[in-house]
Amino acid sequence: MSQQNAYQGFKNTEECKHWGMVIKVDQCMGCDACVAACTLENQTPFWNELWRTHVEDYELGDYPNSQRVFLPRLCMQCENPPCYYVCPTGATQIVDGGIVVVDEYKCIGCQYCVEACPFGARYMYTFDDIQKSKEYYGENTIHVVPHVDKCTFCYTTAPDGTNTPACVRTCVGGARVFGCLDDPNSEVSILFNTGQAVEINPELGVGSKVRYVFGKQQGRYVEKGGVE
Amino acid sequence: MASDSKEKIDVARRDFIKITGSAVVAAGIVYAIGAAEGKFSFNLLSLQTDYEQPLPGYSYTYSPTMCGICSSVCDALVYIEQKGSYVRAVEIDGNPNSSLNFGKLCARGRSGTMITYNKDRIKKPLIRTGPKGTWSFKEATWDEAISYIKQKMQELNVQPWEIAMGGGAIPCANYRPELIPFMMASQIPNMAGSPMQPCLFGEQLGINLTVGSFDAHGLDLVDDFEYSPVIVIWGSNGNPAGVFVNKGARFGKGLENGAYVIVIDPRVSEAASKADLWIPAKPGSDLALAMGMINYLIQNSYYDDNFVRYYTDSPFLGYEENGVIHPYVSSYDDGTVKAFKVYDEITGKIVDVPPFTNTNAYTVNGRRIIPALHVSGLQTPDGKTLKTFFDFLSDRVSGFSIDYVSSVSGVEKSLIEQFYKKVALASPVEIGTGLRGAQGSYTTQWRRATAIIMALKGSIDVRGGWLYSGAWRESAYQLYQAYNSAVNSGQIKPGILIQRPEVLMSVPVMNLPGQMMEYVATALVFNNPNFWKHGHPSVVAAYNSTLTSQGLKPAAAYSLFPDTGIYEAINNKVQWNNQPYNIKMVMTCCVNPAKDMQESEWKEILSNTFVVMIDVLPTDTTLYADVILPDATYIERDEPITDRGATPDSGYRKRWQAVPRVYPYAIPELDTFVLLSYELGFFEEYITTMANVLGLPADKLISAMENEMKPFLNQLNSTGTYPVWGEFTGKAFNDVQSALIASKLNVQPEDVMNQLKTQGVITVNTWEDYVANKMRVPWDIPAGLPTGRIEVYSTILYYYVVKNYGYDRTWDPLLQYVPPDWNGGYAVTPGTYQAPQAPYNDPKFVPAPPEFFHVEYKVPQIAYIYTADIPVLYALTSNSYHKNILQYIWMNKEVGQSMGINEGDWIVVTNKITGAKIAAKVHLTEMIRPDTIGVPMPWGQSNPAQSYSINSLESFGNKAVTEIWTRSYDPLTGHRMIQQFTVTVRKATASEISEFTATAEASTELPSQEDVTPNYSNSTEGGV
Repeated sequence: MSQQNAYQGFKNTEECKHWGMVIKVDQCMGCDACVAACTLENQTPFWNELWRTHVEDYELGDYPNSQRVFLPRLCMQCENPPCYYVCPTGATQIVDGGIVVVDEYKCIGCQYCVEACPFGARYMYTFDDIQKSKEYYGENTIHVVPHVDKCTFCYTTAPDGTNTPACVRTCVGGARVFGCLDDPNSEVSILFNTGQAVEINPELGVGSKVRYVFGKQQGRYVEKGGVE
Repeated sequence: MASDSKEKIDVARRDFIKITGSAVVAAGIVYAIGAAEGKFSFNLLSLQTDYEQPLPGYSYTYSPTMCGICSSVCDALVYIEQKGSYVRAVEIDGNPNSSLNFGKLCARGRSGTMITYNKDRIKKPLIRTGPKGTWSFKEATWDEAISYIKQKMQELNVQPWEIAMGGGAIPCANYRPELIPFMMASQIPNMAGSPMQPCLFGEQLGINLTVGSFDAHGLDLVDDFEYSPVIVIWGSNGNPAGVFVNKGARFGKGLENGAYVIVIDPRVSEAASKADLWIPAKPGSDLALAMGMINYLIQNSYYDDNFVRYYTDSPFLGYEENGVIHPYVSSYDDGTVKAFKVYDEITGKIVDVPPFTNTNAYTVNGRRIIPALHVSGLQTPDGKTLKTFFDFLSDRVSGFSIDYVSSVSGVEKSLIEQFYKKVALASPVEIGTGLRGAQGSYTTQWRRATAIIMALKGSIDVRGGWLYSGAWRESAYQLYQAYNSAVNSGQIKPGILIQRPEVLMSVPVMNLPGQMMEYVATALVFNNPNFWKHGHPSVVAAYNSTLTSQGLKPAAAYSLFPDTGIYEAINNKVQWNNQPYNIKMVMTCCVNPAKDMQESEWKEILSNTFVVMIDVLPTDTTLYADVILPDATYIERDEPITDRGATPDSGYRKRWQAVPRVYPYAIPELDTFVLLSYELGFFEEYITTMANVLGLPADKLISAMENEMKPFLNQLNSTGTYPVWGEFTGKAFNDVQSALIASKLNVQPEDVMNQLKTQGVITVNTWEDYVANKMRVPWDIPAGLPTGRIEVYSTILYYYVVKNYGYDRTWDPLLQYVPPDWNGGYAVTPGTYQAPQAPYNDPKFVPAPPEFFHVEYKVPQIAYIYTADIPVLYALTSNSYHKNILQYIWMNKEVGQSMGINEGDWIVVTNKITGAKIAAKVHLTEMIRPDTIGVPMPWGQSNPAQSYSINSLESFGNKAVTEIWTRSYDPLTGHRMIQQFTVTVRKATASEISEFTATAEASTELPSQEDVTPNYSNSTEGGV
């Protein structure tokens, strides 16, 4: 009978220098489990409609050729992040794993990065939000001082035993895939390297490490690489 | 290059914040420039407090549990934060060890901690002080509350049969082994189960009768989408994508594996968004579509001849009289079935086949035969024409050409052809067992048709089709062994199971496979007056007999725990033995009948009865309670060991208590039931019955219960509070169960508990084990059905329902077309078939605005209506980018515009039969048929005690969709025939908007205002 920490079942138990994520849009059922998971793990201020990730619900086409597309959105963990360059204090950093994080103690809340991010992935976590977070999330809140907040691939918040982000662990449809880009055999590497997973706005040149697999066949879907 | 200049901090996980934290303390003051919200609030003292929060010193651990929010009952892990005596659950993950949900949880499961720490929780027992329909309560002690209940019961002279219990999805999915015995021991024969009439009976009965399940989604069946080449999600929104994780996770895997997905739904549901083929069939046309498919499969020989011939009752011979197909059988002198008959193609003779077995390959004498699927020129000795059930089936569907089906479903012929062909060529096919979707008097026949399609395709108990769960399979095997042993010992002669009650009763009832448990519970227990000392069967049975004695049809001929008859009893319409059958008291656990059942009827029931509720949150139903007893939330409960649920594996799991109870006046519901049995004088019968229904040693359970109960009772009696750790019911069961399981597995009891505590699940047999051990159903062993075969012809419908109630096409044992019967049929008056007036009597009918068809649907963020009061879930649905999609009523955009209705206008929807109204804002969309409106189910809140969900009044009025449910019942299942009425839609007037956005009145403090300090402490003071 096993004594293993059950969370190891979520895989990604080893460290990695370049994590990547793929969203398989064909498998997203729009259930928002990922949004709830992220919120509970990363203690985001849902009371202000602020989330580190969210899922958009597009209605396309005319009846009876209507299509509904669910599009999960989050920080793209860019290799070349605009948010990093504009940060005046160096609060925005890239840490082990290639993850873009905000040192909340260096952040002065100027929100230049919020403006700079082309994906709208950042938001301000205010002082009032911090007080409120204790009510919902317990004593050891991860947000201690006001700062700009964003997805960190659950860098410091995933339970011991796994590096897999909450959204990936819980994705009911299996639409979110997470793994090490340095491992050529990982699913994310294969999807990146074969070009099946694409950047949402490649013309920006930011080098997203969160890429998308589109292309549901039968003529029922958005075109690769473009979402209005 | 930019990358060269990036700073990289090389820190181990979890140390990151700590290091920089101490750096800041040295740096002193930190300030934040005001955000877009514009408020800059600088409070030095407060920041000091923040810094003084010592981030080190917190330790983390986890505790497995089973989610207690919906009937998927996913395996979960609770992540717990501790420091000193402070303990709090901070996050809930799925358990990756689980073959039920594979580590996944939906938004609801992930938010479970927000029920436990919800300020709206009921904190103390409450006793009503003001009129019903308002929030007016005073706090009470448990002693006061129980005394008050006993006093009222005496005043009202309440007899056991005058009590109606109520239970929701959680008691249904988790606590049948506790609540059914409670009813048996207390002699209360009545239960209104909210899942029963819409789900388990209204939708699933057709499947259950065919393959032997009872709870297809929570226990007995696995939709093995992962391995299906073709998946059909038909007339169902909840399962898999609405969302129901134990099926939804498998659906995701199927998508990953390239399954071709067909979705039949009048709207683009979440599942339809994933479809390769979306078929927007007209509401009410599902049965025609299904019969057309069966016709296509048979005409073109796309069925699995081997499976149909040997493993179903399709080759049985029968004859038709007045539209009723009778099996041609050999009978014993007592009239019970001795053998069925088939035509053997080898000898060219009619031969007898065993009444209960898994295969038609042998006669009763063991001779190998080839039973014909098609015969001609055969007759009974007295000249009746004999055909096989397969022949009859072909006849019944022969009129359902693609042309005809297209005309009644409003779907293009080419789409129908595509659909049929895809299914025909798939091996196996997976028609999702569904949940929360189409309902009308045609539903049972339609779900029977889908199960028949699965049987015709041989997709039963094969990978990629419908797999039986390990738990169901073990129980089918146990029943098979009990049957063999009874026959071999000469105790009984071979027969069909429902005619051999001795065999059924020889197995502990909760260990019977689903459909047989349902049969015993319905026919032999709850609807059987001889079972009850007081001679009163359930009000369902009494109402059935009241109706049939007037020459009418019943209100629920074969249904377990529907709410039929309760409303009628309040209105003096039910008799038993020429005496009025009254309902004076309602006692509920974890259910919200004022919203989840027919709203206006239940408000009337609750207003006219003495109502005791056990619950966690102040639902709308609590506005009608006389007494509310606070329950513990599921992560605060420590419960008996149970089976693995709807997974192919068999084994064990349990719900472990993760954190000390937050409110010391809350008592876990299983303990509350034992305490009630103690107070009301049937403790020993109750524990004994609980032991008996599971096959546990009663004496051991009683003594374990008595032992474990003492410290809990002592604390409750001396302090009025309950220990914050533990639950004596769970402990007592665990004491007995762990020893039994340990001896079965050849380990120590501590090993069992340890494995459950660290991994959450114990696996005994997997699907591969069952294949290797030849336990596939019915391929190797008989199904848990009266004949042991897959029943294309339902022997329960014939030998129980037709025998007792005569014939009705609603319960045709084989398959019969039931037209949509809009605004007519049985949807108007219980027991009475009203021929629908033109144009509603034409299945081709399509309404024109302002008249519409009506569908209702789940939204994936919310389970049942009460879960809308979980703050993060409410926030998810009210996000501005999709609030209208999730909270408003859907209407086709062109149609809305033609009616002068704009996005966001308030509309009123009126049921054409009853005139009942609901109101909500409208979302104009291309994603729904022009002739149909779609109503989301989670809304209709009115209780201001629900701080979060009450905000939905901005979008959806204070009446839930159940307000427009029919005031009548399907005569077989008791369900409310949601697709059997049309609605009219118009803009709401200003005064209607006012009326529908008003909250209920609150004259006393709300639970969120109560002064009860939540407990986050791991104190064992006085506890156990």
